[in-house]
Amino acid sequence: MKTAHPTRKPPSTALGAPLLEVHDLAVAYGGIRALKRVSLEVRCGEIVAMIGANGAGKTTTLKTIMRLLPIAAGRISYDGQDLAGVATEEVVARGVSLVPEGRAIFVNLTVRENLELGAWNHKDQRTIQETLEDVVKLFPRLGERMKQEGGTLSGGEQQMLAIGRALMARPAMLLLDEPSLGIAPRLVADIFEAVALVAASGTTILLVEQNTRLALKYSTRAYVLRTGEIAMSGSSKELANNEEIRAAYLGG
Amino acid sequence: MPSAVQRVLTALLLVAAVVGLEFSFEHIIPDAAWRQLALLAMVNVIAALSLNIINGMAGQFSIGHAGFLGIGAYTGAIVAGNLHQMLGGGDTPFERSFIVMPVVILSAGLVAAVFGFVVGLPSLRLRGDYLAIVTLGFAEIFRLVIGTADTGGGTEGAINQALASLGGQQGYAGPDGTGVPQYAGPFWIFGAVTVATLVAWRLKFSGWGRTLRALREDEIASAAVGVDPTRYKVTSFVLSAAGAGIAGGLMASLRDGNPTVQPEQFSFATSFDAITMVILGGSGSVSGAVLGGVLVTFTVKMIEQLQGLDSVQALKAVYPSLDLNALRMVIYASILVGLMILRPEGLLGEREIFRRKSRVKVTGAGPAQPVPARTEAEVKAERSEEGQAGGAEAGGAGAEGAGAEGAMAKGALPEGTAIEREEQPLGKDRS
Ligand SMILES: Nc1ncnc2c1ncn2[C@@H]1O[C@H](COP(=O)(O)OP(=O)(O)OP(=O)(O)O)[C@@H](O)[C@H]1O
Ligand SMILES: [Mg+2]
Repeated sequence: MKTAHPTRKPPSTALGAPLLEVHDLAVAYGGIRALKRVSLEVRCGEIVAMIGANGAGKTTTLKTIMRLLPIAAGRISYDGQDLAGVATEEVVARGVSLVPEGRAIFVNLTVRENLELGAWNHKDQRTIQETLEDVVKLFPRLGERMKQEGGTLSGGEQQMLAIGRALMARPAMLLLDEPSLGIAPRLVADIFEAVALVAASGTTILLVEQNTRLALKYSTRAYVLRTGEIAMSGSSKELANNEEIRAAYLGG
Repeated sequence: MPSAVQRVLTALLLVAAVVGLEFSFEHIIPDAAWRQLALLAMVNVIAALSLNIINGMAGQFSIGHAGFLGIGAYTGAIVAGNLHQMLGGGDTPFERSFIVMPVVILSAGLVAAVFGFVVGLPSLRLRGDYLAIVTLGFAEIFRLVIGTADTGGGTEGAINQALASLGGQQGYAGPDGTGVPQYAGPFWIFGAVTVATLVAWRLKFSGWGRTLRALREDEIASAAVGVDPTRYKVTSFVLSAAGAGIAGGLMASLRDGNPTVQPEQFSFATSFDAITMVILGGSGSVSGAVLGGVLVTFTVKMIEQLQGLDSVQALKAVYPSLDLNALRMVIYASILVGLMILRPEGLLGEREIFRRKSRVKVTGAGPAQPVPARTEAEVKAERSEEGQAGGAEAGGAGAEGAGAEGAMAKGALPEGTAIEREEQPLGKDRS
């Protein structure tokens, strides 16, 4: 029986059980508290959205999960294990990948090189090659531009590349930071469809998105972050119908 | 990719070439001063190649390369001098260089690498420009410690005595003070340059070199991909220091060179020259570092030669206050400024002269397969089925799982879809 993720340890967490748990997380930049008290959980197989205004702390939350920022207080655990003393590369190795905000791709590297770097934690050439083929299937535009330098791609293509690069690590969990930011509406739809496909193939997703309508459409549950705290949470359907959310984030 | 036979042939050819140079060098370049300059240029090329690893490829900024050159030079001189004495002193025949030079090269590289690690580890953990400050400080401390070791209370304590035995400002001229034996002839110098160039080339075009380029562009994104930035930067720095140490070791043993190693050879001006070589040739370019090393060495010499010209001497006679040495620096600086205006990226930029052709090719990637809408319940049902089947088969091989199939399924490429593999391995742990 062929397996889709032969080189990655699949999460021991059962489908539907909490894969990522963030408990009372606080994070500060110097003296400034960016996160005061954030608790959330993402269950295995879910797409969970995190919405909130500019500066609410969404990016900070994702970066801290990746262990790119120090934890001031609270706890993060992934697949049942505490991430307190864990280095970023180890978080990646355990199966979490981040698609950074603002498509932080390597602009001077070719599309192929960008993707190959995503597979940095993998050694098996065949697996890497197969993953590359999968990513190209998911984003055929990338396949046509393998030799092009990342910086010459359109905004939407760069976002595809950033997602593709994250997928090259064969993550069990994908963290997406505003994939729709500054991208033409038509490509945004393509990207979200691709994200839905990735989720359907068994990858758990935590989606940060300012476009609340899209975020609630594609997610199962959602959290509303407001100045470093979780203001609301619930199923995405409920939140989409919530009066307060409609007024504040969906434009009435 | 060249076949194994081709590789062996190339290697043999290169060995034959450097052996040939060893015995014909005096015929090719009859003038001793030019011979010395040619060998010095090659040593400078090694220095530039090694600095290019950290400043060009890794995008850090070290301005204390002279410190590592100096450590290598002193280590090499001490090792060569003592080994020479143990072997009976006297002449420096070519056969004996095969005993001395490998030890010199290894020890000089190793000691410099150790210092590189000690200097690099703390400064490269921090972001920003700490490395520049720390390397500058380190090089100056090294130079001053050696230069002043024989003054003041220099004869007290074992460490002080050892340092004082290096001769202070006067310099170190072997254990008996008769000069460092000059075993490094054309064979060793040109051999070392060839090996250094090949190693630098391999590094640049390996997965390791690509990781460095990524790190240089975006450290956060690299970390998010799973790269450990500190490890890569420190490794680059240690490699760079080792290369500088080897260049220093060769410099100390250079045939027809200065038989005394002096601290003033490793002043900031030397670090600056090395930076010039790298920037002039093009940061990050291996062939650029070679070009820069040769050009800077010869340019400096040419300007020196200008001083001897009759017309310049006549000018000096008319204007006695004219400082020719200062003028030399002005000319040198003007050339650099001019070049930087004409070619801000350096002569080559990051490019190479003999860029190997890219073999990367993806032909006709298959179009994405249509995605039937599926409810979450369906997906979950399917996944749990697979779960019972005992697999992490997230690809969804289920008969109706076309949606997932399109995304992440294995081996379902349409006929005629070929993705050629790049010759070079992917991912980490390879070079
Ligand atoms: N490097 C930094 N130094 C100091 N403060 C920072 C830094 N990065 C973020 N902040 C602050 O932390 C808070 C949260 O920022 P964060 O980037 O997490 O917001 P966000 O929700 O992602 O916003 P956006 O939707 O605009 O991306 C903001 O007040 C921001 O100004
Ligand atoms: Mg943000």
